[in-house]
Amino acid sequence: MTGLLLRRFRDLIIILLVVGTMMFLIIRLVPGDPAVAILGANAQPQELANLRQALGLDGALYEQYLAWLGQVVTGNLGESITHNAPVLTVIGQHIGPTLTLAVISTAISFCIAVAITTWYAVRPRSPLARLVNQSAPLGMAIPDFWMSLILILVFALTLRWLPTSGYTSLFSDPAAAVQSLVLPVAVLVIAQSALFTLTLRESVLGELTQMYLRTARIKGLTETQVVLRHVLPNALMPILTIVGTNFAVLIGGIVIIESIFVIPGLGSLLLGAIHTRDFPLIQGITLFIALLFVAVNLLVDLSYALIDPKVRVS
Amino acid sequence: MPLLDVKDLTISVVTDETETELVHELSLDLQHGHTLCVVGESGSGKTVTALTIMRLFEFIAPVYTDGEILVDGVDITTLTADEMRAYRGARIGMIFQEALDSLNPSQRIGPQLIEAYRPPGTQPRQASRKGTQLHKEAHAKACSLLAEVGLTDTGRIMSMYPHQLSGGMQQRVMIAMALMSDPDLLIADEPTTALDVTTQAEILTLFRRVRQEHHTACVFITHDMGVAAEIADRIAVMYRGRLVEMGTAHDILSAPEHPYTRALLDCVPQIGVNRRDGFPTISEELLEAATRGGDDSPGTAPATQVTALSERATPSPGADTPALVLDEVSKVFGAHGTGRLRRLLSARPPVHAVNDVSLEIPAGEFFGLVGESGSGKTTLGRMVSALDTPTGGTLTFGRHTVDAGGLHGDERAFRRRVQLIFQDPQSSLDPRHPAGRIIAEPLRELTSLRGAELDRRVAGLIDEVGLPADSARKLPSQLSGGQRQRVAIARAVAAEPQLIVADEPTSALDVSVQGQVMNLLLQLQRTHGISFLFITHNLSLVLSVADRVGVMFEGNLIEVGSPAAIRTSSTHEYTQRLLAANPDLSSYQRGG
Repeated sequence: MTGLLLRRFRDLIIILLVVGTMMFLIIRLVPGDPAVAILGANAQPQELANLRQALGLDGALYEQYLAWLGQVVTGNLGESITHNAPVLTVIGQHIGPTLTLAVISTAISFCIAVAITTWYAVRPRSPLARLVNQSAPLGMAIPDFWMSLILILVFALTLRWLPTSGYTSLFSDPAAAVQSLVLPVAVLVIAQSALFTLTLRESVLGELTQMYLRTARIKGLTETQVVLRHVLPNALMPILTIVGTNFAVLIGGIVIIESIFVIPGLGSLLLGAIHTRDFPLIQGITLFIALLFVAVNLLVDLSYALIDPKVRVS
Repeated sequence: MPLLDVKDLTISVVTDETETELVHELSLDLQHGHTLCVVGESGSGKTVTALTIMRLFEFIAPVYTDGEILVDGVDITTLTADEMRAYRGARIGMIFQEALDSLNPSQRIGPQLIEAYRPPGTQPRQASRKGTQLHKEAHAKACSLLAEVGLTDTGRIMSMYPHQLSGGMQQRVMIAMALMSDPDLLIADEPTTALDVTTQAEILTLFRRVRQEHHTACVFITHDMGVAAEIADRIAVMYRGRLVEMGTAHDILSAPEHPYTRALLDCVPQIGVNRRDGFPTISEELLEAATRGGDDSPGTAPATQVTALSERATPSPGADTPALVLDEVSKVFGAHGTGRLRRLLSARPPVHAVNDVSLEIPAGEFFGLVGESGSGKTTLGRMVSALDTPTGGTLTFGRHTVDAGGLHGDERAFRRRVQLIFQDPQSSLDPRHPAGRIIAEPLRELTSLRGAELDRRVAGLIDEVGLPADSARKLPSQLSGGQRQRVAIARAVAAEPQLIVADEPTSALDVSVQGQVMNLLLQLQRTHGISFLFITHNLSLVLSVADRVGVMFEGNLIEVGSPAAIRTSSTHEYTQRLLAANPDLSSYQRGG
């Protein structure tokens, strides 16, 4: 267990270093002077020099790199140009909506997948099981933005049941928050639950051929008991890995969803930063998402150690 | 009234609109408290019969049955699914070959045992509800049964997971589980096949005790006549889905009537019987000829034949086959790196797989290495073939040496001289390569043969190992188990090696096919003067063929000697335990 933690920590450092260095280089590889790009061609030389210094763009490349590295190591991601505040503070202000979307949609997708697959395992030939199974690939294939627009068109513009966009924090006004969350969460759930269902179904099918089910049956258990007590607990384990590896895809989806539904989360922040060429902020958000990705996968590994006896007791 | 009465049972399976008959008009009966051994080779339909008696096929395959299976006078083939559930566990218990796979990997032993407790009038899993009287009863019963099957510290075992137990312990748990509801009938499908021979002896003793103390009748399925001899009251021999012969164990073993039974008994390697000049094998033609008179009056003609092996070739003057010399060879797993951090990070203590083994195998010797699982025999074989590097000591084969630094010298020359045959030809042959390509591969890599010359050599090899000429174009899946092993052997001898490491090459094969493969290996040893390191767990087999035998135990080579010396005058306690545990037919030995 200690070994796992140490290895993960090493991975975390390597990933952050690689991602950070790439971002550092990309910004410096942008043709022309970023300071000019930000301030425009008519800027005063003094202004440009100040900005260059603020961006850490003055001096030789290795000096810039070392300075940047020193800052990052001490937890200083720099100042956002457009927000006039430290990058970390800005990220902190926008992380709430993104996490809300990610956690809620993952949780709902997980429950849907378990429910559908249980039904499928007990009644593999029922029409509902077949319908769901055949529509799952469709759910994965539909692009997020298209689904968002269709849902807005139907539920917000035509039926007028829900707001087209906007965001309210769950903690300040739960009722309004739920209203504004329904559509974006639904879009994320459609793709995610389809992925989880397909994965879980494969896993269940694999478990159904295992010999310990024969043992469960020779004890005289009913088929429902066999599935609930023996198949599912074993079949659920692999899906955790999918939850972890899918996280990057999920964040990508959230960036699109946030901009369509005008949700002030990390995705909108990132898009805004790209539009305004707020390089420190872009760098900060990218590093932060990489950190989040590694952290989620570490959590997945740790939860394996908790639920899988083969990992827990060796 | 017999407890189990199977009448004219025909089992067929429908796949892609063709119906295949797996069992044909089988009739068996079993009295209360008796043990019936069903003996047969693979494809004889013995496991299919067991699963059908339990009606487990309805969950996995479209199988149709005809005939009656009476349990205490009730035909269970006519029961509804609900009624049948009341028979499973409560009336009929079952034990499988693979104990680990048969236990739920993510559930502790205790709950799995308790789940099987189902006294009359209760629902399935009713005993699993914690805090109820029934749960307490079940818990007490599980503990007492675990103690009865020979496990100590039952409380701790109840809270363990299956993978934490050894193979023997897992099978004991399975037996306890089958006994949780006091069934009248126990069906055991090869319950000892996956176990070491000493563990097998203990489990067989356990079966005998269970029969005495619980008066449980048992259908015991096995491919091993030796095991049947140890445990059966009556023996039923099956061949290709049909009952060949049934009678008391004594009659079947000492005076078999059917030629197939006789042939099967002849093929079993026996301690003290020298087979160095060839094993008897079951010949299809002879068997057919012997049974042509019909099942009522089986002939007396033998159904086995002994292939006469050719004389030992005198080593040609230019032959430079060296001896294999092992000098204090050791292998320790999990000790890579000596740094303090490394040691801190590795959770497990290092495993000493092989300990200071010194041995010399002279040119042309057939050296048998016998040991149980975990004895280090396979690791030793891998080091001899330079697939693994030792952590200490040196292996020398002519100019080639293998030590902690790996293989020194020309690797291709070494591979040409030292080849391997593995246990399972199913998984050691590339499923997408036809046999001809598999055999040609080492020739292409290690020799300069190309084109027509290469094809001629492959055809010659196919002929030499006794495969039909058209095998070259067939995929491994289109060949039988014995044929696949012949392909593996042809591949091994293709580059004309001087030493072959054969790791359990016959363990996955039926006993009659084992004879054929052994004959082939012995023939190759004679004609080409190849040295063999023959690794096996089968003491009877190795004692009947090897020039010398080494016994491995916990990483140590504890004894080396001629088969006769090992058999009669071994002083080592472990060797004697192996000999005692080895299932043996010699008490039923007939003259000749």
